[in-house]
Amino acid sequence: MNGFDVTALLLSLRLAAVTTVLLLAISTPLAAWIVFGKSRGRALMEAASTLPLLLPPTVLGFYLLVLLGPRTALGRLFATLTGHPAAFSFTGLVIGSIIYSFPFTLQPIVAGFSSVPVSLIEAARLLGASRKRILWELVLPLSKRSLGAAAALCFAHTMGEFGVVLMIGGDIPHETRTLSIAIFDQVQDFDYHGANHTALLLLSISFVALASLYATRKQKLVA
Amino acid sequence: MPEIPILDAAISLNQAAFSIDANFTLSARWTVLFGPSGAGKSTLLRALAGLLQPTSGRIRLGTHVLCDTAAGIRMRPGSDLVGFAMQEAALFPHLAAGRNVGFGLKRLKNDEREARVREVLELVEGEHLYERMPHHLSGGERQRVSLARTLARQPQILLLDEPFSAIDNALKEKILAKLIDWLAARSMLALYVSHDVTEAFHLGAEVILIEAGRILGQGPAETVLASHRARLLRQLGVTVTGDAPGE
Repeated sequence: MNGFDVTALLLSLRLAAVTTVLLLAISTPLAAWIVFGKSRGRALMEAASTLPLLLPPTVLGFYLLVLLGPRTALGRLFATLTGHPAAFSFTGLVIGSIIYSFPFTLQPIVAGFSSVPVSLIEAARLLGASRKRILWELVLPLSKRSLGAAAALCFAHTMGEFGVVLMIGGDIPHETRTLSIAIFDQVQDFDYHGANHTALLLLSISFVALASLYATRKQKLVA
Repeated sequence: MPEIPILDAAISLNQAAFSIDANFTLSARWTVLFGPSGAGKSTLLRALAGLLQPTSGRIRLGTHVLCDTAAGIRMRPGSDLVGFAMQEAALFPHLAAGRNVGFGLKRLKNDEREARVREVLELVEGEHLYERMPHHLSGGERQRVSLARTLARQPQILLLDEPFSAIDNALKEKILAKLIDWLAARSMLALYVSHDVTEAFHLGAEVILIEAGRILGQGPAETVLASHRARLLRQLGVTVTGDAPGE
């Protein structure tokens, strides 16, 4: 194997894009609930969503493999609904990536929503705005940068994930072999030249994602 | 011209280190809520606006019961009946001044909304600010746009928490003069927080004197603020009683 694996690149890009879109859709209402809700369950939800930061990816991958395997009701339900098991499939990779990248998406959005001044929320309430309108017309526009940060971090993080992907997806060419697994294979095959190219590509993608995020940061005026 | 609604409030509100016990009726077109810093003026206004829930009591405006803790009716902010202009302008930073003012007019058609926005901006001498973004406005301009935003909904009672604190006196008097007529034409009540004794006299308003969360007096400014007025005149070196001097 020489150079980098284009199929693995496309698969990684697809996985990162799908995960980012889904996680933004999940994390945005969840962040609104955490920041503006009153339920005591918010702390538990934040703690649970942050766990992937602390656990080794292989632990997560192992639990997911067991949970979505044919021995559990959830795994059997998944197979019945989709016609194939979650493990060793692209869908399985997406589920694993969503859990693994959850804190990287949720936390920036929570931080963004928290930074919207209470006085603005109160002003909107005084003007008769509903919670939904406050979220759509006030909180989201004022948290654009945080949403961008969440998307960039989620995308870059998913592009580079290895342990979870390997545990739940294995290493099936065209199906579950992502760029990070391709590097592992190349090193196993002593193809250091190819591994170097692939690693450089991953590095560049992550760097561009983060640079584009920081480039949009407003210049602070210092008197 | 419709009748002026009467606001009738009897509420208790307990916060961590502060409590309010207020029992009053507003029937004058303008009432100045007067008291030292920390007396509970802003807290009382926040309760009347629905931003704070009274621990117990009842608030009625005309025939509408806004809050009745015994009947389980809770205050809610955003009522069409109550408008609250805070000292802090709190303009939405991503919306131009005109869109800020029109934010609470979602139910109006576009042309009606535009006309109403321009009308209230003109009222606060701010028609030229329509397209300006909040970060391009001065402190006084922000306060005027914020006031216009509250006026735009034409509530039955207007709660004003020092909304002119960043506006120079000449402009403030000009806006207040127009506002007095505008409110009168719409039979709206105004409850106005001010630290300025002379303002209460200028407005010909009734005064509620509040200290440490308790209402100490209510009535004509000449009566309720007599001691404050005498002290002010002494400070100015005036020994003869008469009209309070202007600014």
